Amino acid sequence: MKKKKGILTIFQPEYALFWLILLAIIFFWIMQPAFVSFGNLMNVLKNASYMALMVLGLTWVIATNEMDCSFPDVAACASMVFAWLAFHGYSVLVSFIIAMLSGILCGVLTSILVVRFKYHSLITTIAVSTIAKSVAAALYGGMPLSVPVIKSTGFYKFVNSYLAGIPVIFIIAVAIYAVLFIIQEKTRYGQYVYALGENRVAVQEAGIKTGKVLTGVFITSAFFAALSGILMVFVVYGSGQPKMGSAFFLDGFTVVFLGAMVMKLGKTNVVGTFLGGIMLAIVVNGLTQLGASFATSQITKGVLLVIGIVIAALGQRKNRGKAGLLKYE
Amino acid sequence: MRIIRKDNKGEAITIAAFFVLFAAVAITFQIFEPTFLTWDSVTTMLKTGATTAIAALGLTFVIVVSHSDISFYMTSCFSSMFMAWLISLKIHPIIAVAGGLLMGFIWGGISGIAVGKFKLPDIISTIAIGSIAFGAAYVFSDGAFIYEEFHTSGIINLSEHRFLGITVSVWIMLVLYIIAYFALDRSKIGRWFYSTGANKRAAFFSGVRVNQVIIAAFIVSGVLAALAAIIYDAAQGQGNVKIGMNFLMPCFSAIYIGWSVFKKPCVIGTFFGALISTVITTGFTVMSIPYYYSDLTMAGVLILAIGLSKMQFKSKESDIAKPDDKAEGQVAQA
Repeated sequence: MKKKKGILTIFQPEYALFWLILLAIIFFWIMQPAFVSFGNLMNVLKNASYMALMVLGLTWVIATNEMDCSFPDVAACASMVFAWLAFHGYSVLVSFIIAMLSGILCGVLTSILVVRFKYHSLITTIAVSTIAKSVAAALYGGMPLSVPVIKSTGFYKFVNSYLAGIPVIFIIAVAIYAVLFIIQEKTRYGQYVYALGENRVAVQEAGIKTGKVLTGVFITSAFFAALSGILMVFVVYGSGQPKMGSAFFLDGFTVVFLGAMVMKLGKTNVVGTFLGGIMLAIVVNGLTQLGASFATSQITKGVLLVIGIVIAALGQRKNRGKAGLLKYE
Repeated sequence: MRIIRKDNKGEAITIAAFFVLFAAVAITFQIFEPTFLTWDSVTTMLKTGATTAIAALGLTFVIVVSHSDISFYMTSCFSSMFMAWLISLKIHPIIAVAGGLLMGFIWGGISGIAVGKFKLPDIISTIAIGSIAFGAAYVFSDGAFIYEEFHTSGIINLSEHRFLGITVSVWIMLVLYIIAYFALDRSKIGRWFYSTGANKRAAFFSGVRVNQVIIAAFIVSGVLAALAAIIYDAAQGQGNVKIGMNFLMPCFSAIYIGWSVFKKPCVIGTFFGALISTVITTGFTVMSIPYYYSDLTMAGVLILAIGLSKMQFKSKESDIAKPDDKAEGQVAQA
């Protein structure tokens, strides 16, 4: 692949997502001028931050060529566990820790089944997500559990506050993303994650404990799903939501695969996921302001996901070169 | 088409073992709930099981070619809503059902072409295509139930009409399973599917049209999922936009339960898997235990079933396998 130089680099597919974001902003600006007001843009960032946090771990799972369908239900489970404990008079800190543990437990279960017993990750996570969903529903008979108690706590005021006009939760998300970006780019662990996605056998033969890397990846995914589930109780719902899962399933994958366009072409990565989250939040917010129906927004998200998949696939094919493609491939 | 003969001894034993397991589950429920095994309740159970069984049969084809289809349960929503919409326009039910199946064919074809022709990653592309179909299902009525003309058009008979004491939907299921058994286990076509699943390159160089086989598998999955959702709609007496959303887990469970016993994804295995998962879910419903506990149990059963299938596979591998078994083992590797 010939590298373009100078100003032309901005037309490379690596920057496609920036163009998409710009196009989306301009489109919604024309359709609904109120869209670009400062308050609304901050609202977009707020929505983007918990969305992007939920799929942060999923990014690495997909980078290792595995699959995790359980993230939205793990988030639902953690939110319900948190709400149930807070409802029964436990302090916010204790509830928070136990809810995080319940999420991590799902990750541990997935990783044991996938790493130790060599289950197919798709089926495993379908099963684990059903378990998480059932537990979430069983806690309060399948109904959302409202927890007005948390509104008086300091943490509630903290995450819902604004720092110089910017929502604090967005700053938290940026900080977490910065840490994970450093891990992805500057540590061995981050390199192993991508190495696993390239060729599992080669990594194993090089003497790296692939099982440990994979375990870490699955637990990270569950950890951030649970964290985002609990944060959503504070920021969005004010209650535990056992049926959160179906709402975030498509969104999560769209965010991650939109991100695959950025930086490492065809590979899901932390920076891309963050930008993908912002892109999706813009689209969702803009469509809501235009009064779009469920069908329109669902189809738009689906089409965005297809764009992400196709560009990622094209990128990988380009890297492989023509010789790698036989007639039947 | 020439029928391929094979040695059935091993299969007969596994089927017998399945019946023992089946009886054990049924008797356990019978002890807790004495009305569980009456004729009425058994026919109702078959009626509810038929939809899952039909959708799982379609998914089996995709699993056999060692791909995954996450779109079938979402596209079935679209297909059945299309059918319900046609019914509400006073169109003859047979044409409406055909229209619904056609939609299943088209959505299955789209997934198949994306995976088979354009080589996009199967799981994530089918999630995307399925989500688009699910969104599109809201177009017909903006998410509301469609029940106009449902009771007068005769579509209800698809589920309710009884022949020899058993509902039509169960007969449809049985006929489909018999056809699928001969197609997949006893004919050359079935060998194409299994060889594609075992090794695409090898199959290609052996003269199998790999791409067409994969597309065909996705189309079968789409059509049968559409049929399952249509029958479910007929049973409920209304077009429900979320009709297929509960298909995902039971269908995968059915296939993996079958896989765990027969050591490969196959038609008979799926049939018994669907039967067992139906008995368990119905048992929980009869005992009026909330749905989430039965979901929890099914997830546990699924994990257990995969574990068993792996165990069988390992012991097979350690033997010096017969050529036939080896081919099956490679299917299981996917």
